[in-house]
Amino acid sequence: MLAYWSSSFVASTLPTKNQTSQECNFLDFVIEDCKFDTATLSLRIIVKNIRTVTIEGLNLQIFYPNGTISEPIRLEGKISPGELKGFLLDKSQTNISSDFSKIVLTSVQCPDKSREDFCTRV
Amino acid sequence: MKAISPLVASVLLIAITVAVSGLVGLWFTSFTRTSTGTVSREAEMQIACNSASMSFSNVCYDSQSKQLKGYITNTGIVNLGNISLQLIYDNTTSKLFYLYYAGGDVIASETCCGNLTMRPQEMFPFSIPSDSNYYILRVISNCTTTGTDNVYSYDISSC
Repeated sequence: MLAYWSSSFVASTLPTKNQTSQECNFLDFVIEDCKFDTATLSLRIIVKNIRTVTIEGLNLQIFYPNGTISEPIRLEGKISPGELKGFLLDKSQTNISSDFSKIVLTSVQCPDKSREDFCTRV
Repeated sequence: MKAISPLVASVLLIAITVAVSGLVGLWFTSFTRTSTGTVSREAEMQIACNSASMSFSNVCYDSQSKQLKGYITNTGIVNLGNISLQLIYDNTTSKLFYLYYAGGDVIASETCCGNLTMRPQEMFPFSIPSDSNYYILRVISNCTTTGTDNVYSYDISSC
């Protein structure tokens, strides 16, 4: 019974783990553009998928000079290979203050893939 | 109670061992083949796309017809396909236009998927409907890493 359970567990788990690990080898993105509007405190981020795997979603974290980091903010929407996707976030979504030092985006399906940007103030 | 003979026991043991190893071997072979197949396909594509390149030229906005016009050129040394144009507006909404080749003209349509392929150094004109609040225009091909180009609104003049 133990042998049956372990073999079926390995058979069902290993392909998923393997697929995820393979996918993450071919997933990457860059922050094409990041602008922070100091008047409205809104953040406009353009992300470019530069590899061959669709990005399922991103988490945004905002870093401050005093060392505090915001809670992750989920940016919904898929980004197909080669495509751009824009996110326009107002203050109610980010609770951002204008003295932030940088933003970090992390892939939801591959948390080891992340990018940071200092964003241009406009 | 009689036990099985040592000969039968040995034969049974060997048969079971061979059967189990065979099953594990079969699974492992197919698993390895699937895994290396994906990596191999990706690697082949990356090698081919290393020499791919695409660029925009003479992009302008016609405010009368509300069209973005210009040219795309395959500036690499490999054929490119699945060519589409992506338009990102100031408010970050986007539109995707698939490019078709029909009757000597390049037609942009929001219906998937285009049939336009471009040979090295081939250039095609394009024209897509757009509001004036465009921000980034991007060309995408089957070489999603290298066969692409962007043009920003500040680099787009009036036609």
